[in-house]
Amino acid sequence: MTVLIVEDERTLARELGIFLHNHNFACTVARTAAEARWQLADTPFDFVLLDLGLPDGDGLDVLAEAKQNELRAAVIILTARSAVEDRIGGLELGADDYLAKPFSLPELLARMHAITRRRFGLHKPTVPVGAFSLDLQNRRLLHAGQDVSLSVKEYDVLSYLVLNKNRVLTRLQLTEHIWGNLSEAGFDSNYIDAHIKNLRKKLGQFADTDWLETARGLGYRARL
Amino acid sequence: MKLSTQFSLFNALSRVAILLLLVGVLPPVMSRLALLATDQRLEQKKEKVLRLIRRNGISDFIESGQSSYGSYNLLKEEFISLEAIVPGPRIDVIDDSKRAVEDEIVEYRVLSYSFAQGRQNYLLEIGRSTGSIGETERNFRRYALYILLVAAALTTLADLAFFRYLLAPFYTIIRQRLRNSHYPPAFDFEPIATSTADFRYLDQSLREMMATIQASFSKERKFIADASHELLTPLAALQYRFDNMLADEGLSDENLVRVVESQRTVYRLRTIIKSLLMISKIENDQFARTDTVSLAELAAEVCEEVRDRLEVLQLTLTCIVEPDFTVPHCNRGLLFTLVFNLVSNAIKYNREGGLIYVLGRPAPMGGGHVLEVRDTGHGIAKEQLPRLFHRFDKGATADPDSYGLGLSIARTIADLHGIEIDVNSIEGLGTSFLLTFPERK
Repeated sequence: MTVLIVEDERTLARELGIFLHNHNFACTVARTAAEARWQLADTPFDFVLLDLGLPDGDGLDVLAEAKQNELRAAVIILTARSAVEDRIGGLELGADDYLAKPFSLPELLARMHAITRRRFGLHKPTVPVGAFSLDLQNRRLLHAGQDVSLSVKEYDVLSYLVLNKNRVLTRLQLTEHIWGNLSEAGFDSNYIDAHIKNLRKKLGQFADTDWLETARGLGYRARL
Repeated sequence: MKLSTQFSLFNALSRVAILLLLVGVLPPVMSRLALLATDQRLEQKKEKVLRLIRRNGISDFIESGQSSYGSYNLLKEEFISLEAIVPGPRIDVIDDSKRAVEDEIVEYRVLSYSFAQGRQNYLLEIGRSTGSIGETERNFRRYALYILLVAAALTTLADLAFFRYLLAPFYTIIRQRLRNSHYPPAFDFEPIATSTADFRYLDQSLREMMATIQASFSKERKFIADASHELLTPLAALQYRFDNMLADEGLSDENLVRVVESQRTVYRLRTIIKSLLMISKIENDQFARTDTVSLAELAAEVCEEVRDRLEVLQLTLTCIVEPDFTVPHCNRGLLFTLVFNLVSNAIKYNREGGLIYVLGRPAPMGGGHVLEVRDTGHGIAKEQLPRLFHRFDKGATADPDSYGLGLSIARTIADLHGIEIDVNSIEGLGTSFLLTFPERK
């Protein structure tokens, strides 16, 4: 899939590019609004990651213009301006999602996967997870067609690990994913450990959970 | 007391004082005036009589064979007498004296005047009874009082109207310039029309002052926006780099652990910056307070949000808000953060198998509602209680992931909404935070 990264900060653009490249995305970087307009007119991208504070203009203007020209790419707004108006403005203009900087890269990937499923229907609605299957559309975990009862947060932890399969997610990354902004008030990695313990207990009643690995001192990984 | 009321009061009092003074001074002045008027009239009459005598001769009054003439009117208010006298010193006086008239003693103001006519000297006396003079004086006095009263009433009313007209721009200045001063961006810079130089100066000074305040206000807003961008962007770069390093399979386990530690440091830094920016934004009034929130719903929502965190310490959370209380003119997100931070602390500093209560009830003294967040945790040392809401002041029991800003944010949000926040704690037994919401307006 092709991604246009509209970001004026060189280091940010580079790290985003490396990460997405490792996940099989082909990335192009635009550092100014003018460059972004030119790239959007020239190439049909699948994704646009759009920073709002650009040196020569507002990212929202670029978005509005591109939408007028029938942009079909999925747009995720990435900004350090966490003002609610920006968020609403961006979504009203047709952005698919909004992430306040700094976010974690696995979070971005999970959002991009969600958009891909929603917009392009490229992924099957269920993802195999060992002997289980994860129904991402209906937020359910199934074993042999039977529901495995999970709490909201347990489902969030599991699906996040599955969407970032075969790579370690740290407790901090998991915490940020499931609690968002509220993680700041009471971050405690013990909560994640408790959720993993519960997941192993609940899933263990149906089948083997060896694929749910602990990476000592780091976090957890879904080896699939 | 309002300025116009004070003016009017002073005005009315000063008029009453003048009136009283006049009532005291008026009688002697009036009687003096009445006396002067009487004397003048007596003089005029004297001239008239003398003119008649000069023209027609004395015989018009004193018939031959008689030595005197006398006449008085019906009510004995006036008399004229003319009599021949032996030559002597000249007489020309006006004096009070009593006269017997038909068996009655009457007090008169009498003009006595001696003159020579032919070879004979005569004495002319013209009198006016002092009773009739008093009558004139009383009339004088009555009319003067009426005129004074009417004048006082008219001038008081005129003054009142004029003060009101004069002070109108002043009250407009107070209303427009000072009532909205807590929210500088809403300030109206249109000058207020007035012909009074002092008010123009006052208005101009206030407008200049507000312009200065607005400038520093927007400067601070800009600083917050810049700080968000300038501080968070390099942090984002660091965070992305660590995320990428974690995905690097060539990195040794030892280095991976280092990366995770660095990631936590970045996270801490980020949390501190975001918390400080949030406090600054709240203090800058950048959050709209247009929501109306049910306290019962809010408390239930917070409790639901933290439910999965209870498990680690096997905590039991009880949430009862009865009766419900509606918080008007608030920011829902901020109120959620306020209650969430308190409940979060109650979880973090609890003991294994402990209890947490979120209880809402009417305030004991009436007027408002109390929301209590109570735990059976470690408690807070007495000497730490006064510093509890200060930025970066952590309790001794705080874990390294708490940055001492959660309670500071809670206090800032409470202050913004006029919510009182109190804490009671007994070391080893637990802590209770009390939020007192003011009576709805």
